[in-house]
Formats: sequence, C-alpha cells, structure tokens
Amino acid sequence: MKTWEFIVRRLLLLIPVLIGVTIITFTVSHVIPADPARAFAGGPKAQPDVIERITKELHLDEPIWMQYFYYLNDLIHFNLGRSYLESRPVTDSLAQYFPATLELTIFAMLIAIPLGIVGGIISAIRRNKLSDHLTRIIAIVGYSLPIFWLALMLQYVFAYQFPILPLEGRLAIGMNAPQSITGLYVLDSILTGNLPTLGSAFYHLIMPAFTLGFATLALILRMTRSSMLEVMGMDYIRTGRAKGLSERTIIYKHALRNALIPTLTVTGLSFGGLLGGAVLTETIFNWPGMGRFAASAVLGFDFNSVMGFTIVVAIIYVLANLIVDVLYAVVDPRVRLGGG
Amino acid sequence: MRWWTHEYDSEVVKIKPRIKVLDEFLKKHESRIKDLRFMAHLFRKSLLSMIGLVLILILIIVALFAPFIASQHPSYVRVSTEQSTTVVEERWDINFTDKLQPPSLRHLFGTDDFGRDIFSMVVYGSQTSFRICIIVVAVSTLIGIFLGGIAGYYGGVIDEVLMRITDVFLAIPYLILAMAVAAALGRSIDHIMEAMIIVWWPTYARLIRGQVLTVREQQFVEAARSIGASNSRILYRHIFPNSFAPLLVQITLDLGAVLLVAAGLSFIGLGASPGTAEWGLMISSGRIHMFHAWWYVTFPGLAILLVVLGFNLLGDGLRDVTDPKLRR
Amino acid sequence: MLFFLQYSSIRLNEKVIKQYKVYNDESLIIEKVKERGNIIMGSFKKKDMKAGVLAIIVCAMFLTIAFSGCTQQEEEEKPEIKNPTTIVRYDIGDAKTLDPADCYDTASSEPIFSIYDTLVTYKGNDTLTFYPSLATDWSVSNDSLTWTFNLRHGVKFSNGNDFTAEDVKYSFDRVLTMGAPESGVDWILGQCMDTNSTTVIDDYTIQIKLTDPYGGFLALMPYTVAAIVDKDYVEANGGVVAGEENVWMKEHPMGTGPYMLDHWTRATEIVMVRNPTYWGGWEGNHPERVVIKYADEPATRILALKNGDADFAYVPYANLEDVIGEKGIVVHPFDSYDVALLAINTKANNNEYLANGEVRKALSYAFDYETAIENAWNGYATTLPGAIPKGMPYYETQNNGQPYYTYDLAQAEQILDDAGYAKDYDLDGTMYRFNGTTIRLFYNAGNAERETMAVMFRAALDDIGILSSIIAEGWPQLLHRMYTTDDWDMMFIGWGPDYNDPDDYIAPFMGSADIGQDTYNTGWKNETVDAKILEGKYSADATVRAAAYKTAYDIYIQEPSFIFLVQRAYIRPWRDWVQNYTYNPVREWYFYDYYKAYE
Repeated sequence: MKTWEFIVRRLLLLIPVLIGVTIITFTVSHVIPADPARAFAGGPKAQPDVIERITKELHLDEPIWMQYFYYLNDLIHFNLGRSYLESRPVTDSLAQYFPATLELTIFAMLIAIPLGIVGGIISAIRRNKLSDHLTRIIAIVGYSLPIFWLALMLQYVFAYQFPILPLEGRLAIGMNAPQSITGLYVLDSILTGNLPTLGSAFYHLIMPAFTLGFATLALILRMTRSSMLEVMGMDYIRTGRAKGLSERTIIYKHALRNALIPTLTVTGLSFGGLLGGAVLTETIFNWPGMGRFAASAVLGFDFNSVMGFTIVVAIIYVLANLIVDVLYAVVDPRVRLGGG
Repeated sequence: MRWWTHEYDSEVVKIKPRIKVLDEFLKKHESRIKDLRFMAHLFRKSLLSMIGLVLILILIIVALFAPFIASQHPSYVRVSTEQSTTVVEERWDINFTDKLQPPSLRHLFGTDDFGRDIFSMVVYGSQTSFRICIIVVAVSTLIGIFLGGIAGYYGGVIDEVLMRITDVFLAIPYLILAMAVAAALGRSIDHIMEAMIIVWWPTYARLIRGQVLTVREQQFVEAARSIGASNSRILYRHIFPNSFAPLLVQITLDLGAVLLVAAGLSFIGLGASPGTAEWGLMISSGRIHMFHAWWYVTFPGLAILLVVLGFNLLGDGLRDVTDPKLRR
Repeated sequence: MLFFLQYSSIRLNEKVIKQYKVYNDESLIIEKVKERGNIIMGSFKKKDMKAGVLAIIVCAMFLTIAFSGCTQQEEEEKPEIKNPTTIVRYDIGDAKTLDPADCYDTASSEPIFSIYDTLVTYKGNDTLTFYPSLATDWSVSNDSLTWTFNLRHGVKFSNGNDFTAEDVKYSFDRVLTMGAPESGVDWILGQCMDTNSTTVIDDYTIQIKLTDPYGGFLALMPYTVAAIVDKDYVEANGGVVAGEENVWMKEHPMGTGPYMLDHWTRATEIVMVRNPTYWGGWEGNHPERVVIKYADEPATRILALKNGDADFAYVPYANLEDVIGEKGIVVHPFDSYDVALLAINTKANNNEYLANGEVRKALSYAFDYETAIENAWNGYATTLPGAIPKGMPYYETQNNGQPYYTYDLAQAEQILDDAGYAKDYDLDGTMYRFNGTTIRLFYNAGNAERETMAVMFRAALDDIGILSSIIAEGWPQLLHRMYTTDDWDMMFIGWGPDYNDPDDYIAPFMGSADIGQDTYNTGWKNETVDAKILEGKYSADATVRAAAYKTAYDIYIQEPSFIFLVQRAYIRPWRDWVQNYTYNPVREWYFYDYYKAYE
C-alpha cells in the first residue's frame, strides 16, 4: 500500500529529526552553569554527601558526551529524568498534565476550525460586503494579539467586571474530578454520566479555549477566505455556473472541497502555535497542563522538565504534521504521497 | 509581456533624468521601476495596507523622537556585568509617592508600582521593541540567505544536511524553543534576541532555498549559465533580486511575529531585567496589579497590538501587490 | 521552610500597625479587627475622600432614622457560609512530598502536620511552651543529655494499628538511616542524635540519649522530621533503605493525626478527610474536609476569597489592596519568623571592595528600610536588628531589639570617603567609586518583593556613586554561583524557621565555615563569634546563652556579611466566618481547630 509506505517512510525520517531535537535540548540545558545536584539536594543547607551522591546519580562528574549518551539511553527507556521542582520523574508529571493540555487544545481547535471555516466562506461569498470586512478585521487582529494580553483582558472583563465566566481552573471548587478514564474531564464526565461535572468542565473551558484558539481561528479564517476566492475564480466553477448549477451546489459541492485543502495544512501547522500558546494560556488560567508546568520549570530552572516537555511537544507536533499530510492525500487524490 | 500594460501606460510619468549615470540607470531598470510604481499604486489603493504603513510610521517616529514625546526619561548607566563585558543599563527614577496613579493629564497612561510614568515607558519601549524586531529579523535573514542560498544553489549533500538541520529546528514550536534557549542563556534582552535568532533562521533558510530552486530552473538563469556567467554572479545578479519580493513580505510579517514572541518571553519572565521599559515585561509586572490598576497592563498591551497589527497589515499589503497570483 | 520562594507581597494600614504594636495580645487584635475591620482598613486614603464624605452623610442619615425610632433597623445580613464543613485554602507552590522524613518545605509540611503527630507540639500562637501530643509528659536528666518521654495510651494509626514506643524509635531511626535523599532534612535530628540514641524502655516509654547537650533539643520535636510513622505500615511498603527515598510513603502518608489524605492531585489540590480513629476525638466543631488548592495566579486566589470559595488565601503583599475593605474578609498580620536578608560575598578574590568591612557597613546604611517596608511589603513588615527575628528568645540581645543601621546616605558616603574610596567622575559626568567596579545584585527570578527591593537599592547605590546591576536568575544558577564558582557579589535571600531556636538563625549567618556554618558561603569568619555561637548552642542555661549571643552580635554587626532587611508579617486573609484561626510561626495550620460559623 502506498499510504503505508509513505507513513513508514515519514516515521523513519522522524528518527533523525528527534535525535536532532535531543541534541538541541541537551546542549541548551548544559551550556549554562547551574548546580542541579545542589538544587536537588535542598539548596543552601544541602549536605555534602547528598550532593555527591546526586552528582554521581546524574552523571554530572562525567564528560559531556558521556552524559549525552546516558541521556539518550534513558530516553529510549522513557526516562526523562527527575523534576527537581516536583521531586518525581518528569514522565510522571507529563503524564499527569498531558490530558489537561490535550483537552484544552482540542476545544481550542473545536472553536477555531468551525468558526474559521464558516467565517471564511461567508467572507469569500460576500466579498467586500460588511460581513467580509468584519471577518477580515477579526482575522487580522486575531493574529496580531498578544495571547497573554488577550487572556488578561478577558479575565478582567468577564471574570472581574462582569463575573459571568470562571476565572480559572478546570472545575468549580468543591467539585471532584470525574473518575479518571481518559483524563479529559469533559469526556470522563460523559462516560460516567456525571452531568454537573460535565457542565462545570465545559463552563471552565470557554475562556481558555477561546483565548488559545483565537489566533488559530484568525489563521483559518484567512486561509479559507483566500483559497475560497481562488477556487471560485477557477474555470470549473465558471463552467458549473454556465451549466446552470445553483450557487449552493457550486459552493458546497465543488468549491468548498478544494478550498479546504490549504485550510487543512494550515490547521496542522497551527498546532505548533497552539502548543506554544498553551504555555501562556495555561499559566494565566491556572490550567493544570503541560504548558503551565513548563513555564514554572523554565522559571525554576528545572531543566529536566523543560527538556522533557520540549521533546514531547516536538513529537506531538511532528506527528500532527504527519497526520495532516496523510489526510491531505485522502482529501485530495491529486496529491501523490512520496516526495518527503 | 506584462498583462497590465494597457491599463497602466497612461499613468506612467515621464522621468526627466538630470545626470547621465542616473539616466542610464533608469533606462536599464525601466521595467523594474515601472513595476515598483505600479505596486505603489496598488498599495495606495488598499486602505488596510495604508493603515499598516501609518502605524509603522508612527512607531518609527515615536521610537526616534521618544525624548521629545515622553515626559519622564530614563538615564543610562554603563556597568560591567559578566566577564567584564560592559553594557548600558536603562534606569528609571523611582517615586513611590506617585505610585499606581490612574490615567490623568499629567500621566496619560497612569503610573506603575514604582511611580513611573507608563506613557513615557511605553514610548521608550518602542525603541526596545524596534531594536529586537530589526536585529532578530535582520540577522536571521542574513543567516537564512547565506545557508539557504548555498543549499538551494549547490543542492546535493549540502542541501540535504542543511535541510535536515532546519527540520529539527522547525520540529519545535517557536515559542517553546525560544523559551528553552532563552532560559538557558539567562534573563536579558540580548539573550532573548539570541534565542530568537536561533529559532528564526531556519524559516529564512527554507524560504530562500525554495526561491533559489524555483528561480534556478527558470530560463534566464539557464541562459546566463550557458553564456558562462560565474556561480556568484548568477546568485547575486539573478537569483537574489528575483527572490526579493517574497523575502520582503516574509520579513515584514515576521517583524510582528518576532515582537509577539519576544513579548511572550518577557511576560514569562525571561526578557528584560526588571525596571526596563519593555512592553512584555510591563504587562508581566502589571498583572499583579490588574484589578486595582487596569491601566498598567492595558496600555503596553495595546502598544504591542497596534505595532504587530501594523506589521501584519503592511506585510499583507506587500504580499498582495508583489504576488502576481494574488493581483487581480 | 528553608527559603521561602513566595512570589509576591501587601500594605498595612498605619493605623493597624499602631494598633498592632499597642496590643501585643493577638486575640485582642483579632477582636478589634473583626469589630471594626473593614471600616479601619482602606479608609484615610486621598482617593477615597469623596467616598468617605458620602459615607459620613449616609451614616448620619441612618443614625437620624435610627434614633428617631421610626424604623427598626434590620440586622446586617451576612452571606451564607459556603461549604460549611470544609476548610478551603488557596495557596501557591505544590507540596513536594508527604513523607515527613524527607520534607523540608512549607507547602509539604502543612498537610504533614495534619496527617501525622509529633511527640510534643505547639498550640495557638504560643511558640514558647511545649504541649503534649503523642507524649503525655517528659523529663530530662541533669546533664541535659537524656530525655525520657511517656507516651499516650490508646492511640491508633488511621489504618487501625496501635501506636507504641517501637514506632517512635523506628521513626527517628528511619530519618537518620534514610538520610533524607531528596532534601537532606535529616541534619536537624542529626545535630544531636544517631541511631543508637533512642531506646525503647517499655511499650509506652521512650528514652533519647543525645550525642551533644543541645539546648534546643525539645524545639526539634514538633518539627515534621520528628513526626511518628507506623513501623508495620512502612515495613510493608518499602521499608527503610539508606540513601533512598521511599516512593510509597511520599504519596501515601498514614499517621495518627486528625486527618487522612483523601487525594493529592499534583499542582492542583490536596484533599484531607477526618481520621475516624483520631485520639483527640471529634466532639465539638471540627471541619469534615480540608482542601488545599494550588493556584499560582494571585488574581485567582483573590477572586476565590472574595466570592467565598476560599476560606483562606495567600494574597501577595502588593495585592492586599484588592481585599482590604472587602466585606467578609479579614486581613490581619501576624508576627512571623520569616526574614529577608541581603547576603554579601566577602571574599577578596571575588570583589576586593566588598571584602572591606567598612564598605559593607556603608552598604547597610544605603538601604532604605522604611521605604522598602512601605512599598515592597506594603507596610506588613518590620525592621530587623540582626539574625534573630522578633518573637524568638534572645531577640533583645541584638542592640536591644533596635535596628543597628538606618537609611542614611550621607553617613554611607562619609564611611566610604573615610575608607579611601572617593568618588570619581566619568567624562560624561557619571559618578563612580571602586574604580568603576560594578556590584551585581542577584535575586531569584519571579520574586516580586525582592525585585522591588533590588530596584530600590540600586537607585540608592546610584546616588552614592556605586555602580550596580540587577540580575534575576533561577535557583540552580544562583546556587551554582554561590557554592561552585563563587561568582556573586550580593544576593537577596530569605530564611524561615526550621524549629524554634535562635541557633537556627544565628549559626547559619554569623558562624563561619570552620564550625560547619556560613550557610550562604559569604566567606565571613571571626573566631570569637564562632566560639560564642557554639557556647550558646551547647548550653541549657539561658543567661549563658544570652551573654554569648550578645557578644557575638556586637562583634558581628561592626562588619556584617548580611544586610538585615526586614522581618515580614505573615498574612493569609481569611473569611470572617472562620473561627478559631490563629497563626503559629513554627507550626502552621491546625485545621483540626478551625470551624465555620458566625458568632
């Protein structure tokens, strides 16, 4: 099968990329003079024997390339080292925080994609009308907004001045998390049939998901609009019109399908932006996800955590792009897989 | 053959050269100048692009004339920090009696928790922002042109290696890689600039490589090569000029993107050292005072928004006029 | 506990400070605050003048109506108590571990104090008296070396096991054997105990033979590291391995304390429920559940407090304005033992100028203590004469409790000029001293109060012609500078109590490396001071200790290695429906004692 070959080929190509990523993160975390052993051991009052033991454990007394190989070896065994901030393995931390980030990202996408596509189509159909100008302004403001500032402004308006939305968190206070099946509260509460929790989880998702998704929304809006316009000017659409097909049929049956292909690509690419934006969004909305964890790790100089986060994000990002490429081929038969 | 000649010929203004060299220059580049004039015409017709241009002009004016616009001024102190490198640090006077005053005629944007005038800090902050944007984009572009040009032109192993390296960098989202690098380098504006250059150059390398590959296959390059033009001549005389337009668009858009990422880094706490007039940093320190001093976070944020908006509008406008496909 | 990394801080209305100083009795102030609380706070500010006038008019109108007897004034309606049987606390910074043998940070110690018991304990805000807990009474031999504890009968762990002397010996030996691999906290017991120290006399009697006659031994016993674990439970779940943490104990605490862990979701919350077998019993008012929520954003915690979701919230000093004057919120400062210091690297190979005691003296005059208290700490702090904080024994030995240095730039310049470090001028008019050497001020990134103090101090240094620069870094980097490369000039640090004995403050700061101290590696050393510190430590006689500490202080303060910035007040604004809350600087949060009701 051609698709399989393609996927395997791309997965194999991932290996050098990921090795490269480990080299970057490893270099980054070792260029700075810091004293992780002492930090692990409790700081100023650290006992010398503890420092010595941790130095040994972390192989800090060995040459740098040896340290890299230990690092790679650990990585292969899914060991990302210890987080000194949380004093537990980084993998444990990431495993706990990942579902929250996933949930937030999914909802951001759920806001961004439909709104973006619909808005883009409307804008393209009613070109140069008021609704077109409006959506274009939203789009251009959307990707010019500093996401953290947007978050703060939303908090100020909707949680402080007019307190209609919760300020932060995933659930109302006093509400217990639903029994963990997937770690996504919305999904879990549906699976366990817990309606109040479901409501609360949704309610808490609105503001952060909107904040996070807004830039992506803008991007999709723009992309849909311009590719729609381009497609509408093509010969086959004109032919359709000449044949007397209704405008609806032309738009929804012929134009849209082709116009959405670039949108798909953009969506895949914007995933990286979402993961980056999650760092800021989660910090502000106190969302217990990987992004918030990474931000505090960066400030607390917990480099194992930063590296672990970077690698996980890189893997997700690369895989997301792979999926988009495969989908691309499914949607558009003209695209032949291969190339690389 | 240019498809728009009919509509536009009438508007071409006759150029009256005064100097012979100039005359020759203009003659030689007549088509290109015509092109530019037409683009300018299109650009002027687009309202949004003009707004972008105005915003950026305002930014430039504010940055250049900050001492005349602001009411409070920083002093600059030369200090040596690490390994006796000397840097100039910005110092703002502290006046606790004036702290957290709401906007008024005396303090247009209010004051911060040290009693400093936020308007003045926003004004001076434009210099910092401008510096970050320009340096990051300029250096990444230069690196990109150099490496991308080599990769695209020579192809083969060099191309393969360079592109795999860029793959690695592009496999990590911008903000996250920049965050990791900036954290490693330590808190300072110079360091976030270095971090962002490390993050940004691969984009340019790829862009230039793509352009080079496209242009290289075109007939006039083939022709140049067939008459024995040297590699460097082909690169500098043919390939780079023709890659210029998309590059310019990318640069303009990136100036805004760089500002956003830089502000994000400062916001997390990785950028400028405390007490500096930097927009992201100001939002970060104002956040704690948000509920009793809304002006503290609002105005620096608006400044970022307007500048990034300016760059984006300008970039879009440039793209519209330089890309023949979009010109309709 | 060790270095509190809190992010930010709040404002004390002068009125309240004055009241606070007048009434030293905490309960009196609480009453006062409760009575007048919201009216006192937040008024007397210029911007509120109009509101004030308006309020007076309105009040006058009400009074007229009330006195005319026309209407019956309705009692002010109090909001309904939210979650009446649950205490909810919003704070920053997650716990790291719930294993008492490896816990050395405040966030971790709070739940541990509720889940485990110690032999002796403190009560209320009293830090000077030891109250029985798992030990009912105790005695000490004449040479202060042998301590005998009689243990409480009929105590059960929350899994049903009986508490006996074996558990006590096991708990102490476990700490000393395990060696607290993550935190190194075992040093606290290790000061005067080893694994041979503890002997089981019978099921309910235990004897501890100290290796050294440490005067502060009993003060170690209420600390988390001396909490009692169940021998059978630990043995069944990983036991004790030297130098290795017990992963099970870290996340599954089990003790004799009033509460049991319900669940701990990292970086989100710790929820505790009643331990049905608690020996103290459940008669009277006690919360059913205790929830500690972690939210790094100040705004989050403030809003939660305002809408009643939180009963307590950590509000940074700079944000107290957001809650002062809010209905139903009590803002009240308590004395804490938390001090803020500015460490100076006195080693000549790093900076020859700072190595001169006169320069350090001048720098002590260059810090504007009062302005810092007012602005970095928003008024909720007091000056600090030396290492020992106010409230601890022997505080008065330090210049009679008065600050030795006050803000005086002229004096600072005079000292510098006299020491031969005259001013110079650059071509562009910049004033400098020390041949243009820059003093680097370090602090850990993200700490708002330290940032404010750093910016202030730098401005003062600019004024007296000392070039300086502020550098914010992460902890591991700062530690690397401090202990490995010795490449730092001055660093803002904080210190909190491990246990209630002044030795925990004097020795780390004033002792030299020769006696295993000089915790911040400042390079400071004075043999007389060292001798006096040891004399004080290993004496049980109060007058001997006082004399020793006074001598040490008088020598030390002449060429200090630290600038003693402030002692901050402890503030956790709380809802007025919480009863029985008070603060103890060495043992925070007796959730068992609190309850929610209007009185």
